[in-house]
Amino acid sequence: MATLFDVPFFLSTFPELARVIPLTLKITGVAMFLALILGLAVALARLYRIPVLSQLAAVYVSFARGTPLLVQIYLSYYGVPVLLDWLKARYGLALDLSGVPAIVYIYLAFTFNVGAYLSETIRAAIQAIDKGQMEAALSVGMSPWKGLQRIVLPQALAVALPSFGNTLIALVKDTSLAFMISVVELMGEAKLLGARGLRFFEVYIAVAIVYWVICIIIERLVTLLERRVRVFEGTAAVRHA
Amino acid sequence: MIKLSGIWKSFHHVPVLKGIDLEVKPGEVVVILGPSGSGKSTLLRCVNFLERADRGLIQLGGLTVDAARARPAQISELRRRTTMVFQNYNLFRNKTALDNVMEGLVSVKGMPAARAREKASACLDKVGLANRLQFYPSQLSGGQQQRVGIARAMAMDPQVILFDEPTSSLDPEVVGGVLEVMKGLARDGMTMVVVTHEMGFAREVANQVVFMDDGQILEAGSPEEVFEHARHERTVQFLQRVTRSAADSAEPALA
Repeated sequence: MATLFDVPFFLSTFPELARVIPLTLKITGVAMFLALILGLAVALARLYRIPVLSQLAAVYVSFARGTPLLVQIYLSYYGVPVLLDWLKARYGLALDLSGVPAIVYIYLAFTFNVGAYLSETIRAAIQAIDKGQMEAALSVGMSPWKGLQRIVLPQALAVALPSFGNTLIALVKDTSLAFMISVVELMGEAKLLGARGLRFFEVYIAVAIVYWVICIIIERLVTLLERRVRVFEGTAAVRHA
Repeated sequence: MIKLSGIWKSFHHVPVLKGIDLEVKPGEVVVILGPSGSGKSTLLRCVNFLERADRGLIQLGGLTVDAARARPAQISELRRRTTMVFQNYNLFRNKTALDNVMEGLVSVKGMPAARAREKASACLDKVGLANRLQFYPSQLSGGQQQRVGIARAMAMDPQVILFDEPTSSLDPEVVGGVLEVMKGLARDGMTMVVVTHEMGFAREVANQVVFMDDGQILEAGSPEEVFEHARHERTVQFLQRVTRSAADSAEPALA
């Protein structure tokens, strides 16, 4: 009778999985960073009701949140090159896409997807800041942009941080879809290991543990960061001192 | 110093200001009185374009801005020459008392941090908060927050400070301290436009008292002219109401 759980094999998968953790973190980090920039731009376009851009932004957010991430990955990987090829033929652009690695399409798809969620978080966080904060900034002569940068956004960050943490954790787990277009990150490596040893149960348990540990660490880091960013909220008010 | 001419402003087609003319001389303290909804706060906010008047001229020093076609550069110039003290203080919540006062000096005036810190400390000292420099607004009482707000406004060396009901959110026992700070500013020759319900302050400190009702200026003159010789029935009624309610709150229920 075959063993239910091959412990030596199970343990042997960890070093193999550990090798690709950096790639998973890299996808997460790059996508989160780009998505924050995109999300901020989209949030501002909608908040300030910039004509055309704000309507485009609304359609983008609706589409990105209303379609499966996997579909977006496929559209990025198969669709973008087709589109660019067509543009190349139509306008005679000199583009060579054959050398673009698959991971670029992963960055594209994840930035597109996460940017939409972050834009909603950022929009809500900015709206949560009292209007008087911007008025005070303007009243001492700051430009609206400077007031946003120095007064409103730092406070909005404190509001948005817990939600950013959730998005980041969801993103870590979603990177497991990258193997669908043959980027060998954690999940991809797990599948390859499982196929090689013909033992999938052990390797999927192992990869689940690795994801779990990564997420626990991120959670801790976000909590620490939150404490730092919220320092101004202080504790009990000192009255009439 | 400041001259407002023909200021009109509507919110959703409801006129709030109906052609306001007002002149404030250098070093003068002008107190604007009036029932709530009379447009006094809106008028104040039109001066620095926190509200944009629909029509009218705003003159400050040598600067003349036509509200209907003000350019962003003019608006920011106007805001650099004025500062405001808000009813709800509106201190920058993410900054300490010292940083609140320094912020404009550094990011608007481009003052080096060391000099800005020195100046901000001096201003906070003047309002009696030298020992609260590193406190965040959430750690200060309302009266302390408002004094930081005044320090922030005066640090910018504005040509005029606009006060929008500076004591209306405060506990009665700390109102006096804030008014003292404002009197000190007036003595130092600061030009001030003050929207308030503090009649004592108006009588004692104002050079000019303005009574507004329903988007218009009904009465303007010295405190004595307005308080003792009001020409309009509405002014008299308002003053009686306010004086009575002030007396009520000053004397706890005896009857």
